[in-house]
Amino acid sequence: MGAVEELPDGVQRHDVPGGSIITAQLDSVLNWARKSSMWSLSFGLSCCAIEMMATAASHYDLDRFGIMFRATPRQADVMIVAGWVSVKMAPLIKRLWDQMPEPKYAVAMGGCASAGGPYRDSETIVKGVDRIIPVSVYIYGCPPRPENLIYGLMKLQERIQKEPFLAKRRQLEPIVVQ
Amino acid sequence: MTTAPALETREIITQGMMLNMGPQHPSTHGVLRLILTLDGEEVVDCDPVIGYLHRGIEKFAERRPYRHYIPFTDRLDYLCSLANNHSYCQAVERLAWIEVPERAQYLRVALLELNRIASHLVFLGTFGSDVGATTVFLYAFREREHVLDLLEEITGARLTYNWMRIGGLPADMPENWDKGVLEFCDYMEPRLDENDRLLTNNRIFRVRTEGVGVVSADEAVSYGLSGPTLRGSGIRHDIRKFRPYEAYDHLDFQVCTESGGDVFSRYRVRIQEMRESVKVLRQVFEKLPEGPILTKTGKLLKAPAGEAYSQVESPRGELSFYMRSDGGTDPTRLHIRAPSFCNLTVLRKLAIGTKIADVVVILGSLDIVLGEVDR
Amino acid sequence: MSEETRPTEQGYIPLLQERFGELISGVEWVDNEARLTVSLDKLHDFLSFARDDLLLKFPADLTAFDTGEQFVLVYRLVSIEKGYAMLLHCSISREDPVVPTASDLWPGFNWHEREVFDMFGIRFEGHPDLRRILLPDDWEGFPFRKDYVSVPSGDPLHGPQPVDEVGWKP
Repeated sequence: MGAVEELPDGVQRHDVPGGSIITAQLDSVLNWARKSSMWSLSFGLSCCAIEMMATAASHYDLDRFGIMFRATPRQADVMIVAGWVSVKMAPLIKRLWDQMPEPKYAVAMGGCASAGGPYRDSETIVKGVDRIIPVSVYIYGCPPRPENLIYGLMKLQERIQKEPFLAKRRQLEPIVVQ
Repeated sequence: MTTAPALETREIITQGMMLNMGPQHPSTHGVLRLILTLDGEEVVDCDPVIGYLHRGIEKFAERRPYRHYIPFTDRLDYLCSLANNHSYCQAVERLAWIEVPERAQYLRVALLELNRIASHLVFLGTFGSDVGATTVFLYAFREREHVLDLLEEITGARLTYNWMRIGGLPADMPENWDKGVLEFCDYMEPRLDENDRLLTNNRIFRVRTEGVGVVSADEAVSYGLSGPTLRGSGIRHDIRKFRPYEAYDHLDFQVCTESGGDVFSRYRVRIQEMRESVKVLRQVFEKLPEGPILTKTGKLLKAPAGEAYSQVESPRGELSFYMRSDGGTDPTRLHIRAPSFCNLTVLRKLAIGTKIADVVVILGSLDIVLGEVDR
Repeated sequence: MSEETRPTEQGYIPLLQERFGELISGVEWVDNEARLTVSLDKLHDFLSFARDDLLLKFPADLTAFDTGEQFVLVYRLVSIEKGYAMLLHCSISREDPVVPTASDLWPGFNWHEREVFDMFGIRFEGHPDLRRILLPDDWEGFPFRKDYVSVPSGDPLHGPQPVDEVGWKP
């Protein structure tokens, strides 16, 4: 179950003779499961992808948080946009995003994906991936350190836990990790 | 090997199929797209499509003072930022006739070799997962964290170091940094032996890599391949020996070659190079002279009109910067000869006639970085 | 590389002057490397001579630059066995930039020529597959020309993007 130790909001434990029972709202149980199996699309663009790989590898071990990399958008919940987005790449990112099933979240990792980064004065670079897909988390850095990425993803997990899953979701303000 | 037999001459007539591999594909190492024409499992044609990361980085140099461009070179080949920093600074130094102090030359060599080890470890990890050995990925990245810790101690960054300056280095090494590097050298050598036991002598690995994607020596030269890809075909060519720069002509190391020209030879060359880098690192700290580390240049550097061509041996091959100046504060043209770009040209030839699974292995063995290919 | 194969002070330059005479100019021999300019009409002959007789078999680099009046192609050729190199310039007019391809001599120049075509619009005659390589296929204009002006489309999925000039100004 990863890093989740205490029970999330809306889940209560009742001690009864011989053990305990858990009562919960369906939403919180579903969200608990969702946030603990946040599968990410293995989709690296540039420098940040190397840090993303380092985060997934042995030293930082992203698996602890239930975040696994899947090679296909059909099985992914989170898209980490790790790198700059060029005009040639933008339609493909849009298509990958459209192929992902709802509910889905986009993480703009690093300066380039957030706002164009050092390439803001290049005409082949889209100034931030939020011009083509809705972004939930912006992570600061060029490239962000693995700790920073993990923090951003944990913030996203917190949000998922609080989200009404069965009711209609509303668009929330994005998280900005600095 | 150059062309697969035509569909009509086959006994079993299969229908040709177009397969689009990438840009989002876990084994294309970035955003490379291969349009494969298949006949069953066999590749009939392969058309690599690049440019998904193009940002016109060469044009950027034309409106920036010389010093301001160094951070951009970090993001070319992000696995060996220091080699890019260095090649760029060396081009400006040649253009403006700036001498680098001796201590800085040795420290530069130490940084470059550490970065080479880090880069080859990423190759090892990703190549391991390409052939299906995921464990190697975890081991290689564990070792890489040690190198990154050392580089972070001196530069403050994990990946994009921005640590070379025109005329030397911005700061000397921190105290006891050399001890850390030597400790790392002692740590690294047994790890490479461990890797030999784990991967190099693994039977499945050998079957997947030996005799696959063979480049002959003549082909390798005519395609302009460089680095381990060229040396894997038996050509002893290394810029560190061919046109020695910095302190490399005072250091003793071997240029590793393998004669096979196949995927396994290219892999072997890279593993051998890591051992040689460890050897070089040990020598650097034996010979490291005292003295300044930076030649002072004016606040706003103006290079005399002319052209300069700087080449270094990056982990991927011959990395060159061609620079022209008209005497102003920024260059009029900067061209980057990216080794990955040149090495990728041979992919089409190697892929034709092989099976799809081998395309992944061949691509992995070329060790390309798309940030550098697309510039 | 042994001492005998190391070329003399002038390297292979006398050979070139004997063969091409007037067609080459600005010859310099620095650090085991010749820098020279060749005229366009004999470019292909010159390149095949360089490959076959001077053994400059390694196609290191091919690029171009724009002086404002003309384009200049830059070839860099290396001989691994002889240890020398050549940096070759060749001027071409901006009005009709057509040059013979070198990809038949060195297959490695195939992509370099596509890149030069992509960025400068220099056409290589006889190139097997001359199309854009780095920019999207529908891009208009050649960005590395000094007179290139783009019209931003404003559509992030297509065409040039508006530029935020954050570069440093003196």
